[in-house]
Amino acid sequence: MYIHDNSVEQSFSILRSIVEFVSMEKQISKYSLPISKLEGMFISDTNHLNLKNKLTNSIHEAFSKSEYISIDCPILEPTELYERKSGGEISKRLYSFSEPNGKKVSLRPEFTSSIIRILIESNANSSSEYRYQYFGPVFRNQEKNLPSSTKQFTQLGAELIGNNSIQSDAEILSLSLECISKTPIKNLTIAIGNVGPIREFLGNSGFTEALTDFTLDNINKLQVDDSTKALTQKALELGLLSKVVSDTDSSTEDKILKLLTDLESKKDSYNFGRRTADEVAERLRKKQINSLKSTEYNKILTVLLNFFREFSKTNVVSIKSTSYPQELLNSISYISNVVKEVSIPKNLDVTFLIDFERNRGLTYYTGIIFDIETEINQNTKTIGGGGRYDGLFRALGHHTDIPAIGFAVNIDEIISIDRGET
Amino acid sequence: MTSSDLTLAISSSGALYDSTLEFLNNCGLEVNRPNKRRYIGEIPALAGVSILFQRSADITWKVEEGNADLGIVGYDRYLEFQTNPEYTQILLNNLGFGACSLAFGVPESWFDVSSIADLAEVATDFKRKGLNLKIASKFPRLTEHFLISNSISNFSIVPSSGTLEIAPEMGSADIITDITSTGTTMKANKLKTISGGIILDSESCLIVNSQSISDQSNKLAIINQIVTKLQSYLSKRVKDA
Repeated sequence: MYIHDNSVEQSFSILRSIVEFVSMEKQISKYSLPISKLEGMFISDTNHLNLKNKLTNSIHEAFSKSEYISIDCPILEPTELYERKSGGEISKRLYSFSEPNGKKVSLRPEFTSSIIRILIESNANSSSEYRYQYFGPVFRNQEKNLPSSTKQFTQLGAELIGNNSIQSDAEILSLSLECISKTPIKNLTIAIGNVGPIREFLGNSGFTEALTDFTLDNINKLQVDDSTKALTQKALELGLLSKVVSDTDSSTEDKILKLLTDLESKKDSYNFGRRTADEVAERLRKKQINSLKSTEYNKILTVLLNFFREFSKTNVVSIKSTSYPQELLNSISYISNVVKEVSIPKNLDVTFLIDFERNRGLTYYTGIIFDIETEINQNTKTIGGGGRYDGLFRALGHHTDIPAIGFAVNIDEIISIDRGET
Repeated sequence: MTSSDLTLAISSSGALYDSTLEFLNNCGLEVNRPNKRRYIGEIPALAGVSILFQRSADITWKVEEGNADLGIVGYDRYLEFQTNPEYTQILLNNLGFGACSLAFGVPESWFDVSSIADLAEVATDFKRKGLNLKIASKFPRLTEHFLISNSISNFSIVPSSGTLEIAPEMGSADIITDITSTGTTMKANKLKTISGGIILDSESCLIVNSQSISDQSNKLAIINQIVTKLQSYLSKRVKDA
């Protein structure tokens, strides 16, 4: 018995030694491994660097002829600059850390916010026009480490500030094409949408801004067979739609009236933070009037979804008038008018497609929004994009709105395509 | 404690300390801690197990790093502090104690805000004024994920670790998200919860580092015993209830 136990003990002891040895090996290898490059960080070899210099120089010359002034911005900025531009959504894509004094800072994910900030600081004049060009590294964390995704890349772009005419939209589109014409890419698709009139349509249909943002943010996530009912249900759960069951049900209204009376009688004893008692009362009154019912919402959503599906990926010139609401049709006719004004370099083959299925920026852009795409081995690659963002000055703290439009391309991606690396 | 011992990390103090010890005791795994200043203990009834007493906020990464093989931690903290999801997994969830919710607290004075949709509109109003809605939270990751999945983007999170219920009154944030079970602390600080504003319902759970124990059969055998004891107590409790 003793011997038997002992042998079991011995076996366990051996097993334990093996496990300990394995774990020791793991520890040793952990420390002796060479330190590798961070996933997604970009290394330019000599060829890549030479091509990049040649390309950026020739684009810089072309942009300078169109009176776009070069500007450089800090690589490190306060995190709030980007959060104010795109909201908290961008924070998961930012490389952020705290300075020793605790201030939260981020590596730049783009240039636009910094350029607008610089203009605000220098007291930009809302009646002047400003044209800027830029290039340099930007940093964006990717949620998933896709094989092709880079977290550091060279962005080159331009901004036209202080003009909201159709010609300024066409100027930026023309400039983006001129930029691509200096690269080896010759076949392009410009997928273009127009958010402004769609916002107008939803506003005219009784949508609050929050409901509009919610709708634009979610509508493209609906698959072809999905019903709009699921989205309506979610809007209802979030309280974006009125829960009034019938027209005779006035309980919500009564509740709001009571709250208004309470607010008036107690407003001196409350701390409203960065809001005022008047703002709270005004929103309460608005709530009383603006409460869209789920049946109305579902009806409008269906119109919008059908419109998106009917016209997405259609050629800009082939649109004919239909029975959709005027604001929606305006969104397409505006695109057609912009495209008519665009100068296309002779060495480029460009197709303009209507496309409302943009998954980015629908809540940030205020007018046209476009992606620059090219086909590589039957795969569509997005190499750049841009759009109009007339609300950014105010969002970054300026006292008035100043219209602005811009675009940017990923130079490293373009070079990789040229070298057959993607 | 030897290097081959299986290590179970549990809370060293606070609300979860007593409830975790009581739970393990009920499962027949009474913990022996020589004194309250000692951070290592044992389970006399189960040889080869070391108990590591840790701050609740540190348990997730202690298990991720392999400093502990198992951990008993709040589901909320597990999701918030996880950095390498492939290294850990939940062995048992809903251990039946430590129940709480992560919820929004907005100033009582905001009479017009009674739902998440109202909050979205206030965030848009702030944006128009060149401001971002500031949210104080010990759970920035869960808060951010919730807001973005509900299409609210005009916010910034002020990471806080202290008594954040006071943040809106002090002006360092507009609203908060915090753990609440009854809402009493929020109410005492002139805050209210809102409809649709529960980010997460949480209870304690048992987590494991799947990498550190994958080639160690002795640890696997002990984990098996622990899980069996926990499961049998949990199912007995369900029957009794």
